[in-house]
Amino acid sequence: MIAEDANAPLGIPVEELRARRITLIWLFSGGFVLFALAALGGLMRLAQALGGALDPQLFYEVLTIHGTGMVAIPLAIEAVILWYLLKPVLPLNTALLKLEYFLVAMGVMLILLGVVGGNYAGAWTFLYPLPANRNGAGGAWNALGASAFLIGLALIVVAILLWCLDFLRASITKYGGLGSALAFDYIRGDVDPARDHPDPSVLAGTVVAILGVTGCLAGALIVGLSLANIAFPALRLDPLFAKNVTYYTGHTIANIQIYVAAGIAYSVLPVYSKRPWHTNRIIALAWLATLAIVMLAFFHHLYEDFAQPQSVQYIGEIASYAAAIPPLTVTIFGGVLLVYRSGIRWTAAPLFTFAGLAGWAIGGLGAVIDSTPMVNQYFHNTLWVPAHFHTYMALGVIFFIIGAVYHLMPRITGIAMSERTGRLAAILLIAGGWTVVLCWFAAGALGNPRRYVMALPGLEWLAWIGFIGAVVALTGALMVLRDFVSTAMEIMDPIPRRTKKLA
Amino acid sequence: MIQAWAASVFVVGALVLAGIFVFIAFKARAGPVPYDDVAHTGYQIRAFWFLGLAATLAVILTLGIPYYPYPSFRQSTVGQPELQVQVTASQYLWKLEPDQVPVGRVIEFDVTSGDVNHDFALYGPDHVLFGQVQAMPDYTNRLYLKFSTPGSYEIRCLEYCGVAHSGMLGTLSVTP
Repeated sequence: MIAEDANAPLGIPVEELRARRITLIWLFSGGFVLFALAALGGLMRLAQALGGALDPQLFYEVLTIHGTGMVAIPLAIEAVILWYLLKPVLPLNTALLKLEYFLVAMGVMLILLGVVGGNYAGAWTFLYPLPANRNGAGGAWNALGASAFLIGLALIVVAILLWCLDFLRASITKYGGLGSALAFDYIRGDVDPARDHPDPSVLAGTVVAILGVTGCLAGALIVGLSLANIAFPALRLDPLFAKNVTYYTGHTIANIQIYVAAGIAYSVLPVYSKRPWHTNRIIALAWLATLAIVMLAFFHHLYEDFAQPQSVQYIGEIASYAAAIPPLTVTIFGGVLLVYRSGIRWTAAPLFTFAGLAGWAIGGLGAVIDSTPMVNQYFHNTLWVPAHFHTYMALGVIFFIIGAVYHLMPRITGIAMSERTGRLAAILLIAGGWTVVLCWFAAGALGNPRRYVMALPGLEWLAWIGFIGAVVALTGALMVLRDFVSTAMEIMDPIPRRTKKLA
Repeated sequence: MIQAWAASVFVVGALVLAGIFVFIAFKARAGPVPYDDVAHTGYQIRAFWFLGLAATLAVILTLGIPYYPYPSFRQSTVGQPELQVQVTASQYLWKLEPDQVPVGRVIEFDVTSGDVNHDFALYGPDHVLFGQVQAMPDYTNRLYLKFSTPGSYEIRCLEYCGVAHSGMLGTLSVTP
């Protein structure tokens, strides 16, 4: 359908305009939320450096908001980016993306209500029976605060579930079955050039969607059971079962962030390297392996629960090690190969994407080390853990998002963001971000616990250096946000800024 | 010390990976060279990379098994338990019975919780993390440790258990 709106650019289908508008709304809202969440992270680092300057109740409320937001919002934004990138090839639903926006917005409101209004400070990785806070010793929150938080979380889980189901529907419809959408044809060697086959972005999205459905269902289960436990104290859960469900949810939802990012990289990097990134048998096998591995690797979160059957601990270690192989030999290796001697110009989009691959690889190394039980005995729940996941989230996922924003803005608005700002921001984000995580790695190796209001005595200096790194990184993030906002606002200006400058 | 080994492996590995990315970033500007020329050699390197990575991880997995912290493995390395310590965690206290143990004996810590999840972590007199296990309601986790250095061992909680989590401290005295 061609645009019927008199104000719409000529020749652009209305559906495309709608897709652009909802994508831009998501990116606009998400950009502000992400920056605010990152700033809260910097605030916590400052409080730790100062030896516990924030009141513990306030500190853990901040930690709850930061953690919940940084798992949910980047995933939602990435999902929207992948959605927009694949909209031309898949029959994805635009109206659903609006509903998801509404659900996430409502979820965020309820979470803020539960935390700020209801003083809930039980973190997003709440372990039964902490949310009920039965004896009141957990903190100042009551049943209402915890319930508001959990219902808010449930709304976000529903939004992610809807995205996953829509993506699965679209890919199954397009390729004529789940097997074909998972590129089984490549594995069987039955590729018919006359038929459509999924490119790597679609394949990644399909695997993520399946994993997301399982993670969301587990999340709905533990949120529902926790709410029931709050309402009916007589209803008791098995703490080990509850812990397994919580970690399955948390691990899967956090993990698929990086796999959505891979889907984005498959679409973005070829544009700048001017080389194709096609599906082949190796890529298909790697993603099939990833599908199985991610579902089993979460057991490493329970290495220090010796009541867990030991056979499960073996599975956790083998799956955690195996999880490193597909990305390191396929996506990350493939990305490196794609740009090698390609004559690429390191503009902001490929620069952030490539830097994101580095964050993924090095963060993955930290994760594999921690997933070794003999090491985990000393690193579990120390700052080593946030160190490795921030490496592939803050320096991986967020970099992929920024790269994709630089890539998408000229395509959505017709106006490119400033390359000069992008490159300068990249330097600040890389330098500051790596300073933050390296200080965490060092403090973790020295046994500093995570989720502490203060650094351990004698390790405050590491927290200070980390805080300085956070300020540098936040400066870079602010530059990107400012440039993004001014570019996005420009399309609403009847006389574009650059035209004004010329005048 | 395992922590130092693990951190060293990370530093070396991270430097090698960072070096590769920086090298590729500079080399990427050369060209454009036809992708088929690059891909052919690249896929050959990838085969070795895959085998090397899988073999390395398999070796670490195998070598690491005797060092697992789980009771059945610990008993084979440190021996059968000679003394027991009952550990009960609750917001925000550690109750140890007894709270004093001798060096050179295998101690079984029977760890549980009276309310929410905690994590029983012992820090040695040198402030280095010596061992840990989760403290869960309704379950008892058994941690086997043998102390070689006498002194005061600080107990910290490593599982977030509520707003006073950071201040949940205790002491175990290890006597000569």
